[in-house]
Amino acid sequence: MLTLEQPTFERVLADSPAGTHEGRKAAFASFQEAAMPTGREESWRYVDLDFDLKSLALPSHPGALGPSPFLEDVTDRLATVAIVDGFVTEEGTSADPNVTISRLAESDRLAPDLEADIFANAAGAFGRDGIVITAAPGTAASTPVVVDVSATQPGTVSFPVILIDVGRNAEVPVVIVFRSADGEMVVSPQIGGRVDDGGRLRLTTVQAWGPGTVAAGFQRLVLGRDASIRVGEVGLGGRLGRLDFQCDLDGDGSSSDLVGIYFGDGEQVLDYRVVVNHRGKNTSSEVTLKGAVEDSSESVFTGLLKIWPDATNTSTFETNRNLVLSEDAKAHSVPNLEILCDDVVCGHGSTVGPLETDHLYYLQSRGLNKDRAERVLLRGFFEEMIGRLPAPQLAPSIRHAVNEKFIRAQAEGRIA
Amino acid sequence: MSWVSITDLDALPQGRGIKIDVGELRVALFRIEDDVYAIADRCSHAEASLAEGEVFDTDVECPRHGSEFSLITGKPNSLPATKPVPVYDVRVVDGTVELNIGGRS
Repeated sequence: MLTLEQPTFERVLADSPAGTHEGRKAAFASFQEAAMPTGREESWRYVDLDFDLKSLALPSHPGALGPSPFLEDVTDRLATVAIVDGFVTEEGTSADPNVTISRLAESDRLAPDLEADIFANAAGAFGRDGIVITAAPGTAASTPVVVDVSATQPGTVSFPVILIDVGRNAEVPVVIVFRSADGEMVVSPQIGGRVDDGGRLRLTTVQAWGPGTVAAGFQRLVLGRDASIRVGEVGLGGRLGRLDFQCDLDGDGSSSDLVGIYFGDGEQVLDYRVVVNHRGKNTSSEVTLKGAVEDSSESVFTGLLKIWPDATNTSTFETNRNLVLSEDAKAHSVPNLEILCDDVVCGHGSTVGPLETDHLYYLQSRGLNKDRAERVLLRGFFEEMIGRLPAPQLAPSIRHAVNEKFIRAQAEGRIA
Repeated sequence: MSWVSITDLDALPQGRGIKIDVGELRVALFRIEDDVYAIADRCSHAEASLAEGEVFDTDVECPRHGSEFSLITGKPNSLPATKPVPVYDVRVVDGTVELNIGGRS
């Protein structure tokens, strides 16, 4: 058993490039001192973790999962990469010579943020492999690199790392699909993006985890001058589906647009922590998340748009809209702004509520029965976001997955 | 009668439609168990793609305004659509889905 203890750490260390040793040791030291979040920490509020990361083990070998409708939708690809149980099982060759894919384990790099919390510490110490996607300066790729990240072994924890480097004035789309088998397991994906001056990254992530998976994911994105990112996040699966997202608009004129969709059912907790740091001048950002919860599921959105003192002429807006479809479901929505500069245009908005009865009444008056009217409203609610995803290829399977969840809830009489 | 091969049965997902262009026809194909149904991929009400609708038994619900069409007859079961959509003959021969582009038999 490769439990997250000293002997396992030494094995991982011995197998990894010397350039990573210092970082790994520091992360392991932090990990040993760190305690599991209790829910009292602001960034873990509303979330109850009922396991000890330190008692879980790394998988000893990669398993295998069947096909995924989300992956099948993306037929036109630059490359396909597969990471299973933390092992790179398919490295993929890029159809574009300007976009290269290499193994993290053959570089001196680690996950992008090793100190954020105990999961990040563990990822730094025990994350064995992952991939580095590099778009050379001036690359203009329009078909995506597809990364299939899966976990298959109950009782294990894995830390797949995906680093994306977008060179000056380069553009590359990346689609990452996360999925897992049915048993209880933990995955902590670590995504790091660096977008150089004038670069453009289009990143779409789909959390289609199995029902027993606890996923504590990180995204750390850093932008140079006039760089831009579009991020689409889809949260459907997992017992806990968490995304700790941080975007640093360091370069002047950089911009980010995060759109998100989530739909929780059963006892799922879908947890979004979004931080956008405006440090450069003339930066803009938009954060728009829309979600629904039914049964006794919960969603959490805490967003912080932070405008640093010199970030003049910042423009930013964050929106979080939630549909609460069943009596026992909950949506927590906490949008925040921290403005340390006086030349800004900022806004935020948040709504939590059921399907509008007036809208339902109107549709029923036009000849739709109640179930059908509810479905039309639900689809309309999500369509705005689905239409803005940076990977439109995924739209049909996402629509279908959302509808399927809603139709199941209707059939089982849970829509209040 | 002219049958053309359009896809393999195994390539069709269960319980959801796919769009396929056959000559000038835009067809929505649905697989339910091992039966395949084909109707025009355009709602007779507001021209939405029916292939993106959800399937209930042998009916499909238009994703835009909720009209339900029979996959067997093409007739709408509910408002707002009032006119039927064209239905095409399909058959499965040795695992290959064939469509009759010569009109209904």
